[in-house]
Amino acid sequence: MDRTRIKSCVLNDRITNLPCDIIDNILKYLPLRDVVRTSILSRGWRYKWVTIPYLVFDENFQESLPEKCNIESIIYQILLVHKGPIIKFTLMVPDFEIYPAIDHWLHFLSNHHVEEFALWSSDMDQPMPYHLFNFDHLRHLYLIDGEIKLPPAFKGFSGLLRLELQNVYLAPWEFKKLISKCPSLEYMDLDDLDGDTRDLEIDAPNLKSFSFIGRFNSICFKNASHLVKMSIRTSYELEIPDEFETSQEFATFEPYESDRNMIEVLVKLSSLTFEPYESDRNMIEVLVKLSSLESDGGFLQFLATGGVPQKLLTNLNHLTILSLFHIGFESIVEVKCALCLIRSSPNLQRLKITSGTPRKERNVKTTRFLTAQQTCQIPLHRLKNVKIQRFSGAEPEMEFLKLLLLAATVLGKLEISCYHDVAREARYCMVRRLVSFRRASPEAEIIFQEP
Amino acid sequence: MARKNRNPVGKNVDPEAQKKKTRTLTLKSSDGQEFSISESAAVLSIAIENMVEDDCAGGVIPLPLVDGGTLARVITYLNKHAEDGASDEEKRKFDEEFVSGMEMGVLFDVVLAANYLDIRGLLREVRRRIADRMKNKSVEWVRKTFHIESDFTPEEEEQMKKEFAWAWEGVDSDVDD
Repeated sequence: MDRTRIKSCVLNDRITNLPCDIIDNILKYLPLRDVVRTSILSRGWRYKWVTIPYLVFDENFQESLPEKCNIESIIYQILLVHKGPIIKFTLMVPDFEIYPAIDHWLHFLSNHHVEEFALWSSDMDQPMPYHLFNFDHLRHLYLIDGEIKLPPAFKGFSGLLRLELQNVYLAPWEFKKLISKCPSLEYMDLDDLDGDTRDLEIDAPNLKSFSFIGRFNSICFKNASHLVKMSIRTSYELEIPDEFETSQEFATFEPYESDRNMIEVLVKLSSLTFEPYESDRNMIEVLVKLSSLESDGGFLQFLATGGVPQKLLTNLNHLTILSLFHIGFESIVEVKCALCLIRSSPNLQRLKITSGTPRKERNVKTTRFLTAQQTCQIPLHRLKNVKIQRFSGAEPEMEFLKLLLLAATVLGKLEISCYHDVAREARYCMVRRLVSFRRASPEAEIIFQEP
Repeated sequence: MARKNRNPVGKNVDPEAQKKKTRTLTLKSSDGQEFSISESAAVLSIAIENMVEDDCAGGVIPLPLVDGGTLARVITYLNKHAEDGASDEEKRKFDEEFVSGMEMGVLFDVVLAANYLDIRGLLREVRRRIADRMKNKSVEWVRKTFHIESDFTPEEEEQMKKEFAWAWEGVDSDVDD
């Protein structure tokens, strides 16, 4: 090998003469403060940073500043010297009073081809500056807090692919208008929407992934033939109230009258429609095209409205990943519903379950139900990976695992992590019982993690 | 790793993909060294894939901008990423170790090679590694590490430091990591 050449590269300044796009992409990984500092390295570096297309002012940026610094004047300063397109602009600084400066910044940014925009609005009472609605190139919009009021002349975000709203105030008609004017939307993440939008009508023909946390009365997909990933969680709470125990009770809740997380529903997916009260068709039938489904116990309760069959009429043939959070194993409705989904998903590969907070009472019925199911064949011939968290070792949980191990013929890994409250001896008993269960898959490995 | 017989019975095997696995190509470095590599690994480089598709390969693919030492490293990367059954996590771990062991000069050789050969994953890893060497470091440290010579006068430097005063404080002490 040519030794002199290699030696000379070690000592040469090689970074300064790298192609511009490589340098831009190196600077991309640096916090803004470090990027600005490069201006003083040498004359060659003086103006390299002013064209960086990503401007991120976040909590880390704020923490990196000397104490007396005024972040507002820094943002003004940077925008003033910046040249060229700003593809990504993030302003996510907690407790930072962005008004009225944000008006100027958004006005400035509206001519800079912003594709990704993220804003944490400190003042709940202030509507988003209307300049935001003139961002023609937007592909990703992420807003925390604040209020959206669409200007009457809102043309829409024709290229918007991803919409994430967290705790944003949005009147129901504004929500509907916003969604209908974003025809390219593929990912929607709605987290704790404010503003009484309880009946979500979603008309997004290209939607692939829908994630929702919060309260709702109904979710109506008008046209969702591409939807493959759906995650619906009714609350952050770990406990599912006892009253949700049976589907009958659940079905009689009156919309708006109660403080429950989910009440009645109308789900329409592409050609499959479901009219509540008119048909006895199960709501779960609408999920046939999904490849990934996430749900919590509350949403299982909701799906169970109208009763839970042993198996769906139509298999969820595309479903490969099923995640169930905070499942109350003592609730027969949730267990039945979970099992119904599993049984109807012949191509399931990964199953992830987080147990709800364990409760001792009333699990005899569920245990008996699960034991009875062990004699029926569940077609789990693709299931490779099972992860169960917050496992308490209660009877229904044990019976559930017994059932899985008996049915999953190609299972590679069962990972269990324990609920923190389980005593050492109880954990020992649990493991001893677990390893004695019959396994249909000779390859199955059980990994037990201490809390 | 005790992973054998990963190909489940009855799984559909794409005959074209199978062919790529068995077919080998020869890559020739700027200093004339020749390396053989499976086509399935080689085409992870978009540039090589284009050459193969245009059929201008003709057995040996000359890469006049990449020296032998660098090409050998790049091939190690490609082979790992084309490996059957390597999980994403394994690959991620491999990537991390792969770049963290590189000296500065090598990082630049590899970043240019990855750029020329259009290997996006590798390019990303090396760029990130270079950025890590600059993160939260003083100007003096960065100059020393990357052999950048300052051509500013002390007065000019002072002036610029005033302009962006908020950017200079609180960096790591100048130690090698």
